[in-house]
Amino acid sequence: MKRFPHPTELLERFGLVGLLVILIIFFSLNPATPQFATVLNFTNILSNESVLGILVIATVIPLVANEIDLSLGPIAGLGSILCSGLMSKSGWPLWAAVVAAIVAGLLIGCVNGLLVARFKINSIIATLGTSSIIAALVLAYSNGLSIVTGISPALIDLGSGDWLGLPKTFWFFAAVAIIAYYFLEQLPRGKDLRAIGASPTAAKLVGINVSRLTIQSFIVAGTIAGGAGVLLVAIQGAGNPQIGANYTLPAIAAAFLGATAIQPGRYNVWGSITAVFFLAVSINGLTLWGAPPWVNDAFNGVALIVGVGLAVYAGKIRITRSARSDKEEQTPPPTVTEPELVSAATSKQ
Amino acid sequence: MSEKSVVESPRIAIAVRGLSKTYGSTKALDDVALDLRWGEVHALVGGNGSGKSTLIKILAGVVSADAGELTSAGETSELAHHTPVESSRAGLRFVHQDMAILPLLTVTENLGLGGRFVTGRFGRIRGRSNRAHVQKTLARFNLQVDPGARAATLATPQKALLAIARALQDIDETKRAILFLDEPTAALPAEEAAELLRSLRELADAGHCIVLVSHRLDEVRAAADRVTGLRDGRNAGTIDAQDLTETNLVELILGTEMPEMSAIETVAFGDDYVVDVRGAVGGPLRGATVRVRPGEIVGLAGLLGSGRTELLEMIFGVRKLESGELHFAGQRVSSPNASTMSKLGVAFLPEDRAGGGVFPGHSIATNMTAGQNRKYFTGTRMSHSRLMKDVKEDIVRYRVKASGPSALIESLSGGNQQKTALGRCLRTAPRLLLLDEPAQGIDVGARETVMTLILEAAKSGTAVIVASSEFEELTRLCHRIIVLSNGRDVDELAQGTGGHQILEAVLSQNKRAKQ
Repeated sequence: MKRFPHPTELLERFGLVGLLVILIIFFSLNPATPQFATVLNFTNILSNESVLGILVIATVIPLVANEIDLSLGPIAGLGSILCSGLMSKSGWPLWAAVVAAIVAGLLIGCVNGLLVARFKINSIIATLGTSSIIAALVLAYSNGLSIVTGISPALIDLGSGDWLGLPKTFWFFAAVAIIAYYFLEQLPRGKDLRAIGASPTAAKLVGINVSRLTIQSFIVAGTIAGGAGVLLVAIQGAGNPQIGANYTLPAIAAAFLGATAIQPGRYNVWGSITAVFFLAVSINGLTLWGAPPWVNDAFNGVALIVGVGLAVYAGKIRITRSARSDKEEQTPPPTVTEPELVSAATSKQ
Repeated sequence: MSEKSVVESPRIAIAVRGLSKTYGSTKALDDVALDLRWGEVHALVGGNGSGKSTLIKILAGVVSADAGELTSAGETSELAHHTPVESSRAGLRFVHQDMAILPLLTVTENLGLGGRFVTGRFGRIRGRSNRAHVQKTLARFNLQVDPGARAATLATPQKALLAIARALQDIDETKRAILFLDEPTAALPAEEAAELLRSLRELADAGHCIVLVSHRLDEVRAAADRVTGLRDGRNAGTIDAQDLTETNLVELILGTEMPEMSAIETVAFGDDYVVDVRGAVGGPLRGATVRVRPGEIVGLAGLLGSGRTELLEMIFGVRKLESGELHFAGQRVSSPNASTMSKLGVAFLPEDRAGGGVFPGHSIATNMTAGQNRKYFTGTRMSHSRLMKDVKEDIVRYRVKASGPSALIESLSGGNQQKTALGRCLRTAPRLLLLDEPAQGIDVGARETVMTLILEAAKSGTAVIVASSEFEELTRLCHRIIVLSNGRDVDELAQGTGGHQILEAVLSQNKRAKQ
């Protein structure tokens, strides 16, 4: 028996998608932004947002367990400087440099996970700490200079070329999204991770290994962020020691805003991706319209606060709505629903 | 409604008439009347969803009524425009179930919370006057505690008294208050609950009016002068203490007589133990031994701090077994932890629903299947349809009243949340079921269901250990009752031992231990 979703439920789920579509139509028709509706602009958005998108998905994974990882931007920065530096300074082959960047992300994720799950340090504090340490490592390794020479042309080609008409980097983003979706929604482990996010104590009492799974979520996030660092080199054609921390706020903002869409009330992959493109299209459109560069930061900040605010508000509404639909079906006498449930339960046996 | 309908009497503290409140399509309160008298302990009873809490919220002025009048000190006012300030002026005071005592703050700070410090210019707290006020307040409420002590160091009845003192401190000796307490004894074992009830009686004797919301029927019978029942938002009647019997009290709440309990049968058990804990030491435990056979229900009785909860936690592996042995199905488990014990077939239902029994923000389906998702993994993906179908059956099997598997757990009453949590434990057909206060804070109807489900589980071969501070519950459930005192098992009572005998055994063991 499938119940037709309540209209406000539909609005909640697809409101952000609708807003995104309206924005695209608006900027496409707006005579002041003729460059918006061009193939070049769209491929630029897809390509530019790939790295952010991957980092947002990495952010979502520990968030599902209710842990915030602020170090994912810096890990990507480290990955980029390590990948480019090892090729440029030490002459490592591309594959080894790529593996090194990813392993670095994995190890930092492991440290984050241990700090949070074993030493019980609040995840915001722990990852803020590791962020600063990563920044120090990057500065020590690069002396604050970009690494522009000796980077494998194959890697740079990856950053500019396309497959099937879409930027190559976008395909990496899509792959990470699908794998993360599969992990979070289709594997028992993903469901366990959500249970931890809802109540770590209750999760422990149903036999979930809370600390191990929490550590794993940080490791997966760190590993993905390390890989995102490699894509940064591909897109920029250089290792940039400044770039990592710039991703932290937009990634967190999109992850929180994403929890208000598709599967409202929970951190989810598709909602987060919608949020990434909603923010990207807004900022891109406004910039083409002549908005000053600070609009970027302002937008991300507002999105973060609105996202968290909406999540709190929507959560309350959902409880009242669920309670109301319960009451409606219980009165008059509950005997009306119970035989229905019994027959539904027995007829399928 | 004419003012004359309220009989003018010096004994009437407040009178409520024609109180109605509708939420959406649900009538939470429908033409409810309530008379409270000075100097009485008035119990307010009713199942979950009967409207007790809505009534209290309206009187506190935090929820506005649709209609209704409040008469206090000869003045009648509309409850639709009732505010917290008016409520306070009328002498109404409230102590909520969690008591809002902050453990890390001192007694003085806890008393001062909510703008109750003695302050001077610029809102500065006047140290000396405030200290004098605190000393006076503590003396008035017979609280022998150090004003500088952290609240965490107080015993639970003292915390309750502190919450009462905070609520009543601005009512000076010449005035009288109407004090509402929402299940103040829910977290207290029998002895400490009795102590708190004695304090409440003293307050009533001093002229205050005490309104006690409680699910514990024995307590209501022992403590109340009058009992008012609410059922589905309507008055179910008011009974005076001298006419009060268990039967009419249950009728007041349920509207029918208490359903017949399936009494436990005497069963001959074999010698194979599902679980065998020997000399468990750790936390408050100092060498406790418990063993349970398949199909057997063993009760743990003891005062707060006797180690009931901790023993269950130790068997489940969430508390460290510092010394002693744990054997499960004949095999020694050297370092138990929750994951391995779950895999062995142990399920644990904790005492605190909000803090470990349920997954807030999630559906009944998620709550029922948490930790059991592997069962619905097809090898490539989660089978959502199979999960929903199973949960639908389980909702019926465990008698959860809800619109369906997707209903949020928060939308259910406490009793139905507990049935969901118990259902999660039972649906795996565990070999050992550990229950900590399984019927705490739920209404009579839900309690009967929970007890029946436990008995059924045992009948199908599950070994059960149940810790409870409600001894009647143990009498009705258990084949054997182990008395715990100061971390040791000190006595074993046979099947059918009555509640009073259990209490005597617990108290006598406790006295002996103290000597």
